[in-house]
Amino acid sequence: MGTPQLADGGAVNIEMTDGQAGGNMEGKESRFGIASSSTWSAFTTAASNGSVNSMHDSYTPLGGFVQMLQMALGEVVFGGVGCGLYGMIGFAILTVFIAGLMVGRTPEFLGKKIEPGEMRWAVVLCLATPFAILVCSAIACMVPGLADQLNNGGAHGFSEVLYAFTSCGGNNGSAFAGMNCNNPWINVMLGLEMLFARFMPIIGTLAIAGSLAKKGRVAESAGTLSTTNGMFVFLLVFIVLLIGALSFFPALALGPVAEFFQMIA
Amino acid sequence: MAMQKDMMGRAVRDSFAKLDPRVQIQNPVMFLVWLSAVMTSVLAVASIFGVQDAGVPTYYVVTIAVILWLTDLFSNFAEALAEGRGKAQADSLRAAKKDVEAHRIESVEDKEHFTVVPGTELTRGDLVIVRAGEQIPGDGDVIEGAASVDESAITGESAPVVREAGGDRSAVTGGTTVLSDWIIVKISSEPGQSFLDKMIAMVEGAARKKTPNEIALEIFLVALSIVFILVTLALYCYSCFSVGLNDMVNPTAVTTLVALLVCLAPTTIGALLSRYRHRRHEPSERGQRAGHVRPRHRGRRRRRHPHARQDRHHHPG
Repeated sequence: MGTPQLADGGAVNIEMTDGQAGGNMEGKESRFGIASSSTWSAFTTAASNGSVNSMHDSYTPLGGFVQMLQMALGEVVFGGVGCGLYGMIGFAILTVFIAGLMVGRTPEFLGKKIEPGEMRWAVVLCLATPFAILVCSAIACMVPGLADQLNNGGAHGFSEVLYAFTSCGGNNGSAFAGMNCNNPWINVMLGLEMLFARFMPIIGTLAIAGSLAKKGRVAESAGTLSTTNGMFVFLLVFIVLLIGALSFFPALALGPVAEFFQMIA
Repeated sequence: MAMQKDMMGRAVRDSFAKLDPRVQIQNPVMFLVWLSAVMTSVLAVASIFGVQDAGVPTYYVVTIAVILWLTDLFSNFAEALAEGRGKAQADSLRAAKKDVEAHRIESVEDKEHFTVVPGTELTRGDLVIVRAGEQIPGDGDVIEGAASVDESAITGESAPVVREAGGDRSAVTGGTTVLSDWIIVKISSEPGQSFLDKMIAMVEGAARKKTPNEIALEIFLVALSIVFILVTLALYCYSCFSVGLNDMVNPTAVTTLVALLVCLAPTTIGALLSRYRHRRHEPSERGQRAGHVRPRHRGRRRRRHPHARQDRHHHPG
């Protein structure tokens, strides 16, 4: 199945024939093919990698959806280079706290008590990415000239905008292509977003580290919520997905999801 | 049952009184629901008079406004009910406290001549004699005699316990009743500072500070609410932009966005939080009926009770 843009033209034959393997080869290198390209696109967006071996703009709507969602989660899927760890620590602190409240355990992480001070910075740490992406992309959407910078109209055009801001906010650096970002105000916007989304979490992490270092270790007891078992891993993944989904699904619904439904309609 | 009905009626009235924004703002998450309700109501009125919100039908706007008001009222009702129970609890404790006549004596040797004074006027150092069937007027230590005391009003322990001069079983609490024999008690608390007074203050929630966990939870909920407000605002901007790209007329209706915000925002936890805040010191209904505090979890209550003794663990019941 191709993309709506390919189908619209009608001039491109993407069927499997004697001369070609078929499928959506637009924007992909023939050396890598479709399967390897899409696998790499998933890897590169899950880590803060930024390298691409195919044009993400040419993927099917749901292909683009996966890429955007992985960046929006905030570099925690594999853990971005250098700064993936602290994102996950922020989520681990949130999980310890939420799970601890649910089952009546005292919130502790690595033998240190989690108190309102740490909670405040953990919240900053985890929500800085959604905050930056949402605010900057919303402001950009209200600037009149934005539509002229896009290659495509419709839902795909919106995906191009969303991808650009998600990539900068998620500290990724990969590009969807299709949106002309080289324009003073978009450059400034994206730059400010990168500054915020990179340094706010760093400040939060340092603040948590400072206050935890001052505290004494709490001895492990029956009331301690274990952070080393499968249950905790499940809860942690759940919290990461929950915050990511609640923050970005409305936006993704207007981009890739809307495009997908337009395509199959 | 009559009391239950009365309490329900009061809670219903209170849940409307609590719609006052000054009350609502104390719980930021429910305040968000309140604001949403006000906003959709304005849109509903505008819609009835012909100013359409992005082309959605009037009944849709009105329905959402009604649902939001009901959500807010229900949360208020739950909170008012919990507060009402706390008040009833405090009233019954106060009833246990007032009208106690204390038999004050001048010295241990002269126990036949006492003056009758109200229990609330006793101060530290006063000596009182308490005989079988009388209530102990205040917190203190037994300095002479021994008696069996019914402490169920305070501890929930149904079996009487022995209190005697000397040793570690000499402390008694105001509000408990001597069942047999007599004791001379030296009062150890100032007026208004007794254990019973502290308990009343605690039940009424006047003397309670938020626990660190509650503060942390509030930080989390407020931060989530802020992000969800941003999500909704951003969605409106995206929608306006996409409308242009797709050659459509109307962006997403504001009513729908407000409804989405309430669905996204942690309102359920917020409502539960206000409930939780009042439940914490609310004893079970069993104890309330008898005007007694009967802790569900004895071990925990013991630790809070300054006069609690280890020896009572061995009593049955």
